Order: sequence, then C-alpha cells, then structure tokens
Amino acid sequence: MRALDHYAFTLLQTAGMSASEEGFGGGVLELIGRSSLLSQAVLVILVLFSIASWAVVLFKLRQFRRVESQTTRFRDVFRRSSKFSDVHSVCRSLARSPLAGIFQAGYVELNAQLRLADVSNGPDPPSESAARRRLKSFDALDRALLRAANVEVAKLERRVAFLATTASITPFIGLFGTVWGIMSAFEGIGATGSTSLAVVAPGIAEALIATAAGLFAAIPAVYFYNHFTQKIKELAGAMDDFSLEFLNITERNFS
Amino acid sequence: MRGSRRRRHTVREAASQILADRGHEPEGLRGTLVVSAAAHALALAALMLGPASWFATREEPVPGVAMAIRLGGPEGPGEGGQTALGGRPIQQLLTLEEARRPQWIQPPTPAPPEMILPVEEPAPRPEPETEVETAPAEARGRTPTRGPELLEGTAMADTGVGGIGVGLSGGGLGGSGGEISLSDFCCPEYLNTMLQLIRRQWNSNQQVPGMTVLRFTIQRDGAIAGVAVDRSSGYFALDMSAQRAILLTNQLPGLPSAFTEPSLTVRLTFEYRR
Repeated sequence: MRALDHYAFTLLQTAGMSASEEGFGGGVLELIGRSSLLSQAVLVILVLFSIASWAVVLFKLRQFRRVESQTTRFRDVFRRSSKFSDVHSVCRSLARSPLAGIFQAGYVELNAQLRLADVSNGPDPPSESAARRRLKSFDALDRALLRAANVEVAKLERRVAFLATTASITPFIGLFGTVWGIMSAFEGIGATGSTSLAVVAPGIAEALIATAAGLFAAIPAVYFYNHFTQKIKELAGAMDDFSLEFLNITERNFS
Repeated sequence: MRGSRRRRHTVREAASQILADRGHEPEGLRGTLVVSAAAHALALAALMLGPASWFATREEPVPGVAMAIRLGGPEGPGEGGQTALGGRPIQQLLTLEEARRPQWIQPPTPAPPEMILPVEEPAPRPEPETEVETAPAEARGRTPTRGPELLEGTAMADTGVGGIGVGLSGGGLGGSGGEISLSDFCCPEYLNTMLQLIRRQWNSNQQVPGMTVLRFTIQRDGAIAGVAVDRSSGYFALDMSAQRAILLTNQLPGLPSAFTEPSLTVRLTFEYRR
C-alpha cells in the first residue's frame, strides 16, 4: 500500500515537472500575479524607467544623426564660401548643427562691434571696399563664441543625464524588490515551519524577477550613456576647432 | 515686441538673443515615448505569448544508446522466477531422451504371506456368442513419436534474468513504472550484475526522500566514465550519495559481446525513500 502511494506521488511529481517545462512565459506571468503588491509596484516602476530611457535613447539617436550630418554639411559650406554673409544665410537651413549656432553668435557679435566702430568713427557711412575695418575686441568675440559653445554642449547633453540615472538606480530598485521578496519568502518558512524547497523556491523565483527587470532596464542605459558621452565629446572638440578657425579668420580680416 | 527689445539690447549683448533661441529644442520627447512604450508592450506580449522554447533552457540530446533504469522503489519479487523481460521467442531442439520425465515413487511390493487359504476358482465367464470387433490401429489417438521434436517459443521464457528484486521494472510484479527501455537489450543478466554491484556501494538510507537521476557511460571494457547528474533531487547530499555509489563501483564487467555498440549510456534513477 505504501509502495503504491509512493508510486503515485512520483507520478505526480513528474507531471508537475513537465507542466513547468511547458511554458516559461506563462510561468513568469503566474509568478508575477502571485507576488506581493510591493514587488508588483517595483516591477511597474522598472518598466516605466525602461520605457523612458528607451524614449530618451531613440530621441537622442535621432538628434545626433541629424546633428552630425548637418555639421559636416555646414563645415563644407563654411570652408567653400568667401563671405560670412553667405554662411549666415545657410545657417537657418542647417540650424541643428552646433557649429551654426556658434557661427551665428560670432557673426552677430562681429556685426555689433563693427557697427559700434562705424558709429564712433563718424556719421559718414563707411564704404565696404574702403579702408579695412578694424575690430575693437577679439576677446569679446572669443567670449561670445565660448558662450555659444556652452549653450550648444548643454543642448546636446540634455536628457543624457537621465540615462546615467537609470543605469545607476534601476539595479538597486530591482535589488530592493528581490530583497523584499526573499524576506517574505523567509516569513513563509517561519509560518509553515518547513524548510522544504517547495516552500522557499517559488518565493525566491518570484523575487528574482525584480532583479532581472532592473538589469534589463539598466544595461541598455549604460551602453547608450557611454555612446552619447563619446559623441558629445567629439562634437565639443569640433566646436572648439570651429571657434578657433572663426577667430583666426576674423583676426586675419579685421585687424 | 521681441524685435524692438532686440534692437535696444543689440549694443550690449548681441549674441544673447540668438543663444536663448538656440537653447530651445524644437521637438519634445512625446513621439519617441510612444514608440518606446509600444516596443515594450510588444516585448511583454512576446514574453507572454511566445513559445516557451524561446526562453526555457534547452534539453540536452541524449548521446548514443541510453537506457533508463530505476534503482530503489518498492521491492520486487526475489531471486529466481520467470520473467517476461527480454522475452525473445525461443526455438530449440529437444530430444525425447533428454526430456526428463518425473518418475513416480512405487511402493514396495508386499511380502508374500506365509500361508494362503485355498480360494475356489471362480466360475468361468460365459463365452460371448458374437465376435467383438476391435478398432484398427490408425483409429486410435496420437501415436508417441521417437526422435527430435520442434517446440514453438512462447511469450514467457526463462531468460535467466532472475527477477532483479529491486524494482528493475518490467521484471514481473512490483516494478516501479514503465520507464524501462530494455525490451531489445540483449543481455539482461549484465544489468542484473551491474545493479547488484552498484547497490552494494549505495547508501539508500538518507534523511530525506528524493530522486536523483544520474547518467553515466559504460565503456566496452566495463569502466565507468562520464558520471553526471541528469536531474538533481534538489539535495546535495542525495546527489553526492548517488554519485559516490557510481564512483566507488568504478569497474564493471566488460560489456557482453552480444551488445554491439562501443559503449552503453545508462540513466539510473536513485530513489530515496524515508
């Protein structure tokens, strides 16, 4: 009789095993459905973080693609044209390039200084082809370019910080959910008084989902954060380079 | 409004207005947010509805010839006996001379009495008036034959397995389950020996009930190799005890010559009962 019972129990066990092997997704869903309200809230938070970080990633990817293509085009135009006014007219169509912003700032500053010089020189309108006009302060022009570069870098860096936040926070949130779940699993052990794996294992499995979700959110965020930081560094280098080029040209022409 | 302000401030800070304008971003995050949320919903749906084989661990293919044997479990019949295991049809020639017929024991003939009373002769039977006809010899039943006789094989044959008493299933009553795939294995005697050797090293008396499935390979010369836990019982001690039994056994008799494969892989189930 006992042997028969034992045999039936073995059969049941193997049936359970095959059932759990059947559907992983269904098993995960079942685990989530059974878990406590707090771990469900943790999962929801993690999913929201993941959605937001991927939105930022997509946004930034598109922005950087446009920025890079327009920057190369702007640089081409700048090196080919002989007059600043030509370049200035192109700026509106290539507005996404940070170099266009720097150029506009420098151009406006240059014009303002020249107009000031004209006003102080005398009431007679200066002829373009007459004596070379002199610039009053190159330092001011440099500062204007520097300000513009700062603005552009800030614009590129916007929202990238969110990726860093996601990358560093979400594993901890997931870990918190896991720790909480394991705590309740151990409470379950205390309540039932049995340490068998059948009591502990489902609670731990359910708790580990939170860590998995945290890592799922964090890993792409880390990758793209590094990717974007590198891109920003390159663009900042290009901006510095362009500022110096601009300064050189003005110094050659207006002194 | 804005134009007039720009004109007034132009002298002092020419670039400020442009910088302020460039600081703004033309498009917001909404579009990519929608895209991202949709992608997450898709991924979740794939996780829920997708086939389990995408995520579950893959089953390892069983290499070569493997057979599943269950050690432990309820007691089977003891040594000896007939079994349907390996019930191959048997045809053999039996000579009648070799077939031992049981002899009945004849009582000793009683000693003749010392003296006998003379008995009167019974009256002679009356002679029948008519002749009694006897049947011809062909009309009588089966005539006994002399010489070799062909016997048809039956389902039950003595294969010499002798009922592996510890639940090598299929061996008559009390085996534990139809897990066995031995039906076309040539040499059940070999398995009997193997199980006996392993049982000798196996301590089935553990604290907890459980079931460990080990996989190992018997080389042609009988050496055991490639011992691995196929399915853990969940208890380290039980797995270790089963593995120790195999490792201590170490050497089995060489594979029988009737078995043609170079090696034999066995999945052996150790069943611990309390």
